[in-house]
Amino acid sequence: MDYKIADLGLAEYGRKEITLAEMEMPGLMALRDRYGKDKPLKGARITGSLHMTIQTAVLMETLKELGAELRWASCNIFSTQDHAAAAMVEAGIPVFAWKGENLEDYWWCTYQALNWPEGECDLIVDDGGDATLMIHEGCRLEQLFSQNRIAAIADSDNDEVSPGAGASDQPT
Amino acid sequence: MIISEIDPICALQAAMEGFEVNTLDNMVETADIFVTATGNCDVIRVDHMMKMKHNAIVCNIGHFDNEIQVSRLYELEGVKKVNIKPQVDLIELPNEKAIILLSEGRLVNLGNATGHPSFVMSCSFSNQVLAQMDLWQNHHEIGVYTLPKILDEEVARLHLDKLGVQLTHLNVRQAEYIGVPVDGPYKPEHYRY
Repeated sequence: MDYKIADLGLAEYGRKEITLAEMEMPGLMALRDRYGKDKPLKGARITGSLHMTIQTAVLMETLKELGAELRWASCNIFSTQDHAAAAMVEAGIPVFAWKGENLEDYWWCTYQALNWPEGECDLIVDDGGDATLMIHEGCRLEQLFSQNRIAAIADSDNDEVSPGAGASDQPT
Repeated sequence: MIISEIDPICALQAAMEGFEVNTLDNMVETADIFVTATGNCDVIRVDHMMKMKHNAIVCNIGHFDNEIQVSRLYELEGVKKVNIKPQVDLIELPNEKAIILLSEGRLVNLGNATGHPSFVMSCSFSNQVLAQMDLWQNHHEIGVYTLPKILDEEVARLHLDKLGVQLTHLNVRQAEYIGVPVDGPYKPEHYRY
């Protein structure tokens, strides 16, 4: 499994805090009880671009319990709780997030969360719209490339083609 | 606490809650802590920061880091950034003063702390789970959709026990009297709380 986080050794600490948070998140736990057996999200590949916190970990494990497959990035360079990220990787979810990313890391992580090794992303949980922005930028560039208006779409030095070049160029 | 507000309705709400409502320009030299919560750009500008008290604390809990003119501040000649600890920077200004900038102007609750309480996030995330189920199981034309009120009410219902809330139930006569189903939804789709 591919992933990139700060320290997998923090997984146990993360798990302890997730267990505490579960008791404070009755809505999510009720949804697990109600729908866990039927797996209504079975087969859904969900990309998350959402603060990789303890609370988000409880959301992620709810989606997983309902049958979804996940790949996850944070939607802010400072919002990841590294122990939450570690617990998710330990639970088998590919996470690309750590506290204190730079902007290049940030967009790399977003791309990794969108880039499913087999098949394509079906659904996005997108806080702030950066994953959606990246998909739109990708589509725009493919169109320019097909019209021979740009030579190569992998030139990340060019502001014109970097995903951060849109109107909303800063993660929340 | 003093509120700056552009919307007359929100300004009135703040005043009725007992807050003083005033402009940033009027208050910039007296406040100790500045918090932006707007979703807009250029709310705290470089010229504001130059007028602030020495070591005033500046942070953002709205959206992008452009609510405070951070990048323009860094570009200013004579500005020096001294990192105190992760997500806390002392910004020395050319006027001999300094400000303390948190999380480089990005979301302060998540950068300098651990975000919202679990209970609050459970309400928000339960809606997310129901939305993902709906998007996966039902065909939708491209567009923007909101969760139906009945599901919002269901999410709220799931959180009542934890707070020890005992809900009162409508009887059929009462439901008919106000024109809603006994089991909800109790408000029209356009209603905002």
